[in-house]
Amino acid sequence: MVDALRPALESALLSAGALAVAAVLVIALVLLVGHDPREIATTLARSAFGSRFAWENTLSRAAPLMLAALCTAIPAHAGLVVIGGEGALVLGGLAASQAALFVADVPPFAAIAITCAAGMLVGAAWIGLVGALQQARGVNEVISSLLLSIIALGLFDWLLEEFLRDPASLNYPATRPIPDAARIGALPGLDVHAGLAVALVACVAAWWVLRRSVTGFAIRVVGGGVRAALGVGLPVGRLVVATCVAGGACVGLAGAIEVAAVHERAGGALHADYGNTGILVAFLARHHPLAIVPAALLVGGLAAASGPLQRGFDLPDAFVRIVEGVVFLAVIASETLRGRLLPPAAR
Amino acid sequence: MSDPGLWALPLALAGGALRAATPYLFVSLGECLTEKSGRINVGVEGILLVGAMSAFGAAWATGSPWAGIAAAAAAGAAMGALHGALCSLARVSHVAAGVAILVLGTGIAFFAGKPFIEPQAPTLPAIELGAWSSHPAVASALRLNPLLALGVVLAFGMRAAFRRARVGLAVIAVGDDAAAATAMGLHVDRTRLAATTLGGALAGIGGASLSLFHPTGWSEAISGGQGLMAMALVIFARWDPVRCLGAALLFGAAGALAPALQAAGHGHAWQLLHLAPHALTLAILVTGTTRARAMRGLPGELAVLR
Amino acid sequence: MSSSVAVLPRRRALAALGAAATVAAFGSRPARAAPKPVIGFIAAGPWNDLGYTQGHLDGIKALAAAMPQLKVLKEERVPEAVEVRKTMQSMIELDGANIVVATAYGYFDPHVLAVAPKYPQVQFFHCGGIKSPQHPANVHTYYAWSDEVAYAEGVTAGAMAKTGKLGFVGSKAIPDLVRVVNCFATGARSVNPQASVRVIFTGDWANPAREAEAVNALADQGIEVIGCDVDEPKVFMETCERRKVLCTGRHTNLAALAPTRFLTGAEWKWATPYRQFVDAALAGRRLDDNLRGAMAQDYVRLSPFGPGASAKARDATTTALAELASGKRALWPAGLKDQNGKVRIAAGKPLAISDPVLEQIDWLAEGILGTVKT
Repeated sequence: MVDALRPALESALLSAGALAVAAVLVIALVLLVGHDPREIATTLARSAFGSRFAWENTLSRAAPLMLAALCTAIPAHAGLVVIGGEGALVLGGLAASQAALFVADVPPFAAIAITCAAGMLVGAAWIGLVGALQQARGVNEVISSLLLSIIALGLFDWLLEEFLRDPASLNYPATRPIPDAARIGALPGLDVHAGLAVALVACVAAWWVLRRSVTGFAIRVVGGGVRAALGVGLPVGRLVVATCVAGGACVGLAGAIEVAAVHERAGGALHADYGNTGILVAFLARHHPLAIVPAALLVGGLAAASGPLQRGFDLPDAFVRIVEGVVFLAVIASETLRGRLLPPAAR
Repeated sequence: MSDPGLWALPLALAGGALRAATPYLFVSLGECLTEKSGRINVGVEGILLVGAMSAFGAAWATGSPWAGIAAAAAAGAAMGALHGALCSLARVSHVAAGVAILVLGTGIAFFAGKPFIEPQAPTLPAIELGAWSSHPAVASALRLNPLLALGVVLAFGMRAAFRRARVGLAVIAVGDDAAAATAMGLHVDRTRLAATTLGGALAGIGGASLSLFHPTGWSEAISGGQGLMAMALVIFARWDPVRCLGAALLFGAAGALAPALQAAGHGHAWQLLHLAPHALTLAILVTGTTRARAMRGLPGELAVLR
Repeated sequence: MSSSVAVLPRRRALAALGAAATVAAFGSRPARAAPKPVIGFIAAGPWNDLGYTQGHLDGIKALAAAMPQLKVLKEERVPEAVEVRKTMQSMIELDGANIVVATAYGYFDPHVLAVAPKYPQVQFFHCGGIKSPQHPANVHTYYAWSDEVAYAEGVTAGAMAKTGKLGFVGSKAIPDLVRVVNCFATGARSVNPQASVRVIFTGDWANPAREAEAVNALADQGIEVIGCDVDEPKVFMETCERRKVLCTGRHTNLAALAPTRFLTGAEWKWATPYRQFVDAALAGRRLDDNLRGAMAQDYVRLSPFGPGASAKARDATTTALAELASGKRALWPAGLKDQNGKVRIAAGKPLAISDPVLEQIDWLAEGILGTVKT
């Protein structure tokens, strides 16, 4: 076997095994609540991936999750566990909604670029702060990103309701609608907004930088051990902060795309838990930027199946949450078999 | 009765502290124990919800709130043990395991809790410390949650155990330096599993306080993120159980501040008031740590927090 | 109030497209048999929340019970984002829904408006939005005005409060809530001119811990009766009972939650419009773009009085409702001032419940202590 392929093959085997174990557990749960597992499985597969509409449904839900997952996955390469994407997402969306108000007369492409840049800037600053605090003061990033996320959600509510609320938004408090120039449309021939393409490009770019470039190699050295990285003279502080800035920019971009492609304004519904679900996706993908795509499709597909399961079997939406939890549990537990499943050939 | 106005504020804060502190206290004591043993559980919010749901369900089914507490403790212990078992596997991220507990716990609580949203269950009897007062506000503020009394005893007991008792010192030894603890003949994994399980049980009891005392009832919005807040609280209290008690009272009072100010007719920027505990914790984290020196009280093996 | 309230003057003639769509959907053309109505309901909260969403669930259950042949779909906890778009499409594409009912405020603009043009044969009904002429022809809105029931609650509350100190716990300071608070206060002051209402907004649609603290804070201030408009008022009611404070309910009949303190409550009766949606579809009739109703149309109702309400308070409430219905008493009286003493309703020109300015009301009436951001 080619040694270079071994980690990828092992990851694939581990994921497949974990999914099989999760499937057994879910089947047990389905039997417990008195449904036919075959019917549930058919509905699940059909409504997530079984038709053109199902794919559009799944892809629409997966797109924001990919960008949100990068907020956890990129800093993870430098050894940081960032779990505060939700707050950066809503603040990024709010910033985008305000920037967009100034670009009504700009050509559409530039207007969209400015809107997205505003979201990326605020997201980058917010998560960048997490990295900076970790480097400058040794503040743990798990807790600081969590706290900053909660603070961001409160700030969002306050800014929206005190200063930015459009009086015409009436019973759904929101900012003024963004101009047409700043709106992102659907992909040609698909009922999925173009944010999906942006998300895919971001995942590929993150993969290239982290796995193929010199900078990426340096970042992974930092993630492997700070002392060793310092020993070879790497600018550890700058690299760590850079990963946080990049991750924050991605999740801020997710917020901006939500505003420009879906909501057309910033309101409380921006807080739709994509940031938190993104953490799940990142860990499911073991922080590999390309694996984020299938992981997001899996989670997005489960969400897409939630409706038909509710309507067809009277299962509450929490059923899909449990399935998500079981899948996640199996995947992260499978990590313990890494290196044992396909041990390197004895020499 | 004359208008108490702002004079009611201190009373409201005291009452709020006594009412709302209990879930914070139990979750933070549980998390404190878990973290002292060298593990972190970011899924306590999920355990809090499972605890609240199972406490309500058991109290409703049996008619006894104490059965509810037992059920919450058992459910919390099961979730904690699951987390502990996941963490003891090599190469499994503790934070990821916590996220799994969060997602799974929320799912289980919401799924199994559907039949419990509408009914009413018996609540915990209060210790009426304010029975002497003819003033209803005073009497109400001093309606003590029996679980809070238990929590106070537990907080002091845990501090004493961490300082003097063999079992407490073992937890600290395991949490500070696993290799040294192993050399001393301690079972690192077994101690951590026990600490995480017990920590989960305490978080479950915190949930029971939500559904059986204040604000009572089972609903999917019952926690409002109090489990996440309790994680911050442990750092705020620098891993000292008695300081957890103080911090829990403070966080409880903070929750009462915004409505008390609005009730007295001062209604501005209350969204920001709700953020005060989080901002304060972050400030303490920033000022209390430096690159060279970890925070005082931080367990040495808590790799994820170093 | 006349029954014409139920159907507002149609804001525009049917566009050619809309007319064609109506015909296609409801099949008055003999060439194409009318498809059987399949109605799908979407909610942002959990169905059995004993609150706003339960109000809709009760309506759905009543509809299903009255029409056992009808195919009824429902989906809960759908976020007001791309999820609701895909849920609407999924109901249509996979389950053949031809009537879609979206019950959360955030669903309307842009989500319902974005999906509706893709399915001209499907009728979309949104709860609480306002349709304007540029919106797609197959989009309708519906809502139930709680002004009169809130006024009636206020009368009961005002008659029960010896010191006239009332309170109110609300979720967000949106126009629909401001209307309800204002009517509550106006009703209370109609029987007790000295009455004041302290209002606390929690900032969340549902946050039981904050709502309980709000009740405690109000009770500590010596408030005697508290009204509410939060999405899940269960904890609110139970806390009032525990603090021995009289209270009024919201959304559904909550009497059982505060057995000794319950006065009355403002309930929805969504079964009425839901029946109308289906009947119109079966008859091939087009409903109004902005369907509205209140007590006279059986869209809302007052909960039966609880043991907390005295005979005097009950009489005062019944009288007030009768006078509102007969037009003897104005719901939004001429010369009504706001909390700062500024006259907001011109002398001699009381506002009707259907007046569009009320849809964007942003001031609190005289006697209310609290703030809304304007």
